Amino acid sequence: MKSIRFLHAADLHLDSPFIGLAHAPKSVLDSIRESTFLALDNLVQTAIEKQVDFVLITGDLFDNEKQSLKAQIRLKKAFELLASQNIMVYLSYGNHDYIKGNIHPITYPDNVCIFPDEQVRSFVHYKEGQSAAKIYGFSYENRAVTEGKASEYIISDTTIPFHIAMLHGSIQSNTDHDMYAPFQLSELVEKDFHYWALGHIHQRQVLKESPPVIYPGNIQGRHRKETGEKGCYIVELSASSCKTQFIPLQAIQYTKLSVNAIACSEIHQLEQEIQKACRQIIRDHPQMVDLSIVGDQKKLAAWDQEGLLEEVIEISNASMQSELHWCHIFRYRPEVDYSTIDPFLYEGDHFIGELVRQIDEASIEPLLKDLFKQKQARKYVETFSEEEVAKIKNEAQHILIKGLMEE
Amino acid sequence: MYIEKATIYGFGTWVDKTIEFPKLGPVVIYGENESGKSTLQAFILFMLFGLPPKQRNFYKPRTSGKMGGRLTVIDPDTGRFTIERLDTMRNGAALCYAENGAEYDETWLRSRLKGMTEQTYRSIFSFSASDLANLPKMKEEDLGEVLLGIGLTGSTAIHSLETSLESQINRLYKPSGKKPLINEQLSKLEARSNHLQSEKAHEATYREKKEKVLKLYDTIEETQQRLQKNKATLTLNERKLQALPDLKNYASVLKQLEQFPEKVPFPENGMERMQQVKDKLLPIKSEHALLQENQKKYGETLSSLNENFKEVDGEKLQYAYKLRKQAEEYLAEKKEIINIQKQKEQIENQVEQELDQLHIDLNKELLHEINLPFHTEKTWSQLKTEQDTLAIEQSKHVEESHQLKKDRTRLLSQAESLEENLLSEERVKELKSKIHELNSNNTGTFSDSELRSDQNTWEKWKQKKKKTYQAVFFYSLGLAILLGVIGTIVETYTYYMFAGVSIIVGVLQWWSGKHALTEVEAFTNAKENTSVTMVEKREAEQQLLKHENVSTEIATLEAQLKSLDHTFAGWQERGEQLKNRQTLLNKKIENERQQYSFLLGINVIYWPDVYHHLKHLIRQSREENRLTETLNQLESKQQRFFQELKVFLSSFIKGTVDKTQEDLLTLLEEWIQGNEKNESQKLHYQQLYKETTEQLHSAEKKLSIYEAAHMELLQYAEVDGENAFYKRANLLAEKEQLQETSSRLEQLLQPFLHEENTHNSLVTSDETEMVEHINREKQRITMLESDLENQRQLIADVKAELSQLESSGEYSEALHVFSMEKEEFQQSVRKWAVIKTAKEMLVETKRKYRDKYLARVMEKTNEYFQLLTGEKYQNVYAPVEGKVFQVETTDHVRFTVNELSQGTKDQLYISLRLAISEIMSEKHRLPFILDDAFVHFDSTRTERMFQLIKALSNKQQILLFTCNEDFIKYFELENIIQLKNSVRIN
Repeated sequence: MKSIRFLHAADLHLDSPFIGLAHAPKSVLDSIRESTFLALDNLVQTAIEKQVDFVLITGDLFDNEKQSLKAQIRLKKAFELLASQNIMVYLSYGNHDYIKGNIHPITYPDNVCIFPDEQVRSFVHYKEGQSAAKIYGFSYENRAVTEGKASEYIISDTTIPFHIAMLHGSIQSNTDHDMYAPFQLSELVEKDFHYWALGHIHQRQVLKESPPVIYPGNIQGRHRKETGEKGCYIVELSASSCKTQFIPLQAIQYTKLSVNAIACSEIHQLEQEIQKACRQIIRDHPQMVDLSIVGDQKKLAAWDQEGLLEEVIEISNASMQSELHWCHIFRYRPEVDYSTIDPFLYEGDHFIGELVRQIDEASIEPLLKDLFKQKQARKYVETFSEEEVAKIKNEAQHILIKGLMEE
Repeated sequence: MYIEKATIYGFGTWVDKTIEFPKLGPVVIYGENESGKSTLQAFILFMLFGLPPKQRNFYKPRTSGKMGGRLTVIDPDTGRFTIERLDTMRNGAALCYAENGAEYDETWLRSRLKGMTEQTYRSIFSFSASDLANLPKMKEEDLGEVLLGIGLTGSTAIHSLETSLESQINRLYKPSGKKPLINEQLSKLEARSNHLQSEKAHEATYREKKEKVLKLYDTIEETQQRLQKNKATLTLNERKLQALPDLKNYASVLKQLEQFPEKVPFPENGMERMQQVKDKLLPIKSEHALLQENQKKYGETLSSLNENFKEVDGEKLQYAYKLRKQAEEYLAEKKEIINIQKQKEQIENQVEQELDQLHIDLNKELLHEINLPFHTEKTWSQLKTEQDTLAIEQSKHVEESHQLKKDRTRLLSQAESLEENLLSEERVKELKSKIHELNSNNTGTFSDSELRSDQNTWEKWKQKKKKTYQAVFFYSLGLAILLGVIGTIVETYTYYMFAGVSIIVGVLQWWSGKHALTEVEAFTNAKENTSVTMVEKREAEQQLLKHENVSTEIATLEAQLKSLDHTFAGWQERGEQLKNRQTLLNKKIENERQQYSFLLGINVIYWPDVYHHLKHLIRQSREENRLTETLNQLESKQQRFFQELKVFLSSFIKGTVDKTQEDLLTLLEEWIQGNEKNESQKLHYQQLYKETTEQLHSAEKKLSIYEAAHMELLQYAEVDGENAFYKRANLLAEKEQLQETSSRLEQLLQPFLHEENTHNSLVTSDETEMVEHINREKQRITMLESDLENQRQLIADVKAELSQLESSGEYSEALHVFSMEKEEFQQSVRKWAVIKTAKEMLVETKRKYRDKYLARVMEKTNEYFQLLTGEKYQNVYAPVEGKVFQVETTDHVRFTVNELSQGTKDQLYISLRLAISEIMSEKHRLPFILDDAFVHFDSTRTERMFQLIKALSNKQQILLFTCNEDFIKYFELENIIQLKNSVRIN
């Protein structure tokens, strides 16, 4: 029995916009727009360099809801490049690129094998004229597959040396994501598959080492929470062993960064601190930075309220934008603990005391109906989470207290 | 909370001052202006709430370095404690000392003050005249609201905050606005969304277009098939049309062929062969005819030629030839005769001419007789030479005699002249004596004139002498030359000798003469130079000398004469010899003249010339004779020849007698030529005749062969004549041609001939109809092709659109931009939400707060207002629903706050503040500070006011700062703190 080598990726989400990006200059926006494609190019390049036998992509190659033709055209080109190197591609569609939602009839080259429906089916991969592996999987026909699919995976034809399962769905323990095709790890492990190629969860995780059950995560961060390296796994299976290796593919990296402003008495010192911190993290990729600033509460709050922080961030962005591996701070938070309001204020019979007590109790939704009920705005505005509501109330409190106290 | 004691270390004008506060009742702090009331007030506030460094610096006393102090207060909860603040310590922060000795910091103090800030304190518990003064400044409409604001919080902060928030909100969003940020973003978003939707719709056409492309491919396929079919039909039809004339042709050819006989007998290549035979036959025939004719002609000519010159036989002919030869000789001789005659004549002329020239006594006849032997020439020339020599010698001899005679004469004359110069004997003697005398005297004088005349004579003499000497010299020279010449002629040496002698004599004579002259001259000259006496002497001496010289000369001359005489004798002898020789010569000449008579008149010297001429003439005359003889011989020969010729010719030709010699010769020549010509012609024709006969034979042979072949051809073709043969040949050719055409057409029409039906239909079908059919087909094809082109264009267009869609990525870009702007919008919304929440909360709290406290505040206000106005007003109404404060008199008349007098307004304000303070003090009970708040009050109102204050001071400490001395009377002394020069009053 020979060995096989393949590349496992999922959740490409080609051409999907970055969530939570505002006020980016055109160059940054363009880079972000191109980032998923660059990551795809990297994937192809990796497959070629590593001389894999085939490539597995477990769902969510693109988003039907925001489906751009470009995504599929680029995908096709990537596949063509792989075809030119005689690399097969086995892909299944997931909840974002479900078959019935695809409006563009793009025909992929012959090296691409697609699982055609929700029935778990299999392809046999031939290497040097011999059947080397059997690949199992299914595609989402509709937006959701709610029932568990693990039980449908049954190994057939044991003469074939390797059996690989592709499954786009969520492990039941994970509640952060939409629960599709749920499974439990034990369900998978008890089958004798040599490799479980999972998809759907964007955070990469190795659920089990042997046999490998792996979420490769997405190949390019698209959300401020999708930080760090993003990529695929190169898997080498042989009779005796199984080697897995993570290869980063991202074109732009998202990073959380914290800057200490305690030593900064003036705002321009903070600017230097920020740039220093940013330059430290820049290595091979452009960076999108989610910056938190810690330091003197009052000073931070004052800078924030006066709009100085915003200015500093703008200046820093402008100065770091022109570099090859640029750095863009897309979000910043002064770590001001608004919740710590002087407890004495709560005690007083005076107006401020009355005010702070009032804000704690009130609900803000009715207050915002002006905008949220407006016909036009309703289409675009997103309701705040509870957490967000608490923060908003907190900030409002601070504005009021500051306003009243300083008069 | 009560203030018990204030210890000022240093604050403004206050330094090291302690003020005790009364324990009960209001605290009236009186002081004139500039007494430090405000400073004290500020000190109290500083102690309670602290001051920022800048303000602390402001209150730093100029006289002391310390700034700060202590304030001892009594708190109802914690009891007495002292607050200490020092500028220099703890950055102005408070340190509190409790009674039990415990120390607390600022935070503890703040908790004692229940979170009260200076600001809040001032707005609730502090009230001054300036607060009242601020009122009119406010907008009248705002007054009620402001009053409420103060009433609720004790300051205008809420109001301004609210306004600020409102304006911020308005900047962010207005429900029906365009300008605010969120409104703008919304409209932008709307536009983006629309763009996005349209792009999406555009991309959605991708599927549609793809399908269209597939459909178009099908259509094109179908059209192409149809086109192919139509084209095939068209090609067939066109070929049919093309074949139509051929088919028709084929049919007619077949019909024609049927009319021909089955078999046409004709030799193979008959026409060609016939032609060949004829080609050979015809020239032969014509040649044959020509030859026959020639043979006949030649026979006739030959017989006529045989008739001519019948009588002539060979002998005669030979004779004629001989004559002709002789005639040639005759002609040559004739020419020779003429030549000879010419020569003869020429010679005769020459001889005559020469004879004339010679002018001697000779004629032609004589010339023949003269015979000149060989020695004659030499003799004659010798004679001539001799004669010449003799003549020269004779002439020389004569000349010599002349010379000699001349010399002699000259010498004689010389001698004569010399003799003349000779002094006489006496004279010589005299002179000699004279000289002698003179010599003895040793002096001699000669007169000048004597000398001069002497000199002149001397001069003349000298010239004469000179001439004489020269003449002698030249003569002797001439004689010498003459003698030399004679000597050379006569060849006698004596002559040369004489000549030499004469030259020597001449020279000597000339030299001696000259010498003598020189001497004489010298003498003469010497004479000049001497003195007179000497001149005389010299003259004498010269004369003597001269005399001697002349005598010497004469002697010389005599010698010369003697030699001359000798010479003359020789000359005479030679003359004799010459005469002898002349006579001898003359004898010889005479001899010759006798022999040749013609020499008589001719001088001897010309004889050699005559000899030469004669010799020539003799030769000429002999030649002449010889020529004459030859001439005679030739003439006789010619005469003979003519006779013979005449006899011969007369036998053939008549009338020859009269003819001249030349004519006869011509006749002879003509006769001979005529005869020869006849003979040669005869031979020529005989030859021709023979050749022609031979040719005739061979031609007849050939003719028979070809005629046989000709006959054979005709027989094979089964015809009688040549004409029929050709007719048959044509028939055959025609048939063959038709057959060939038919087979060619058969090949061409192969595809059509197979189908019997087509063949028939084609033959019968109409051409125009077929053309029409084809045209219709063509039209259909054109239409199909244009359809195809259109479809291809369409497919290219759609494909271009597809690739444009594939490469555009516009939707993708729009999506990203939209997403980002939506995020921006969301962030703005959040910002708005915060501010909106704040504002709404503020409003809400305000409402609640008012609801909670207003009733009680108004109740108290009402109470105090009644009290202060002396029950004039019974009710105060808080502003509701946009209305301002209203007050109601006891008569139930209501007035708005704006309608009140300033005093009443003040009363209302104070009532309101007091009420608020009281309500607020329920918990806090901080000292209430009044700072000259009653300036506008009259005594009644003031009294009422103070009564109220006194009453209130039971509940809370009231600090009343005033500069009005009148007020003091209203209070107990113990309650009054007088600030005067920093001296405590009580």
